[in-house]
Amino acid sequence: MDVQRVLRDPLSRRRFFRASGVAVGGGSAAFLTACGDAKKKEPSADVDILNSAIDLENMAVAAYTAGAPMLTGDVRTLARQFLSQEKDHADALSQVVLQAGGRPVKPKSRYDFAKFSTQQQVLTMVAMLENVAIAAYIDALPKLSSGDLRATAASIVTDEAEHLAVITGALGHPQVPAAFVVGKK
Amino acid sequence: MGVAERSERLRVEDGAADTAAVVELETSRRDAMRLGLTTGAALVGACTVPALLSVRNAFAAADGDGAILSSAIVLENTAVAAYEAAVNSRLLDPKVTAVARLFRRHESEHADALSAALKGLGGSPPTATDPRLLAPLHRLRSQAALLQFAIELETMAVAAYYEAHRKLRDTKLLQTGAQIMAAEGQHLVVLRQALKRNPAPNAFETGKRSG
Repeated sequence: MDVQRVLRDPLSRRRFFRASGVAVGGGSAAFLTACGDAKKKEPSADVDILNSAIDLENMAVAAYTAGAPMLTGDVRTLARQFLSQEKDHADALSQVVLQAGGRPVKPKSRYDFAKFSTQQQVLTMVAMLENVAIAAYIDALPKLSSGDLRATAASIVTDEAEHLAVITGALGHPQVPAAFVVGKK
Repeated sequence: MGVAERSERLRVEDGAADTAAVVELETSRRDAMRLGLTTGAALVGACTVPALLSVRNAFAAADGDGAILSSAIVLENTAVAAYEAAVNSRLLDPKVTAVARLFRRHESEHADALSAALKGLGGSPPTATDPRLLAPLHRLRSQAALLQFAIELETMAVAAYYEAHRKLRDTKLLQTGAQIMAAEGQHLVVLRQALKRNPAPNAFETGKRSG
């Protein structure tokens, strides 16, 4: 998978999510008065959504695995912690897919990342991945069939937002730039 | 773990990140302990504000989108008042004062957005704060105590939004709730770092661990 292409090109990102069953849209911080109830979904409909989320988590695991050795000090320690947390997300979502009678996706055989050799380049890349994951989860959340799943997705997106705040802080950028965390599509 | 470098790209092969993660986890845990960072339940320290924990589920007890919104607005109003009190306490250094001002503004934006949504549902947004939550503030005498108070308040908010996601029905409300919950999580990162704690100790930020 050409990760950089997916991350850099909005059209490519949309295709990736569409192919995975997660439409990339929404994410607006503004409340609108148009209020459509979250439609009732069958548990089987969750499988496609969750598998696309697992794909993102696996990509993040690969990115942190590849990038961590180029980091130093506390940043490196935290990157390793984030790696294990992304793995926890993938494992938990895979369990849900199995329980729903689906087959959880496995990590890709290969991830192509743009060459990075500095801490800043690694952090910039994982920040992009976290942003994409946040946007995808927020978009997918109302489509999930059960309250438990929606709560779990919210707990994961909050963790990804925390990762992002740590990373942007390490890059010297504002850690909480907005009152609503929407990610980047 | 196969990490192979080509001319322009870094390649991670064989999906072997899984195996590496297990090895890395132990290393990471040891490193974290060495640095004074701890993870998970070990971080739950003495609660300076027991009242916060006792009302943690009050918001989640609300049923229906309108009732959940009303509870959330009171909680956000309370957070605005708490950060306002912290800014005015003269106990914060300039950097932390700036953080408290920023977070006060964010909580106010949350309250405004939630109020607009409640009006859209035909309700009247509450302007009140929760005095039970604010009562302990006047007893706090240090920046560290105020930061701990803010951590507990933000953690309570995360727990409330987490539980609300089980009940909310409206698509936009669910998404905006997640956006706000994620922002409260980012607030927690900054507050934890100010107290030299692990900034993101929980893979699933449910608000059930104070961190």
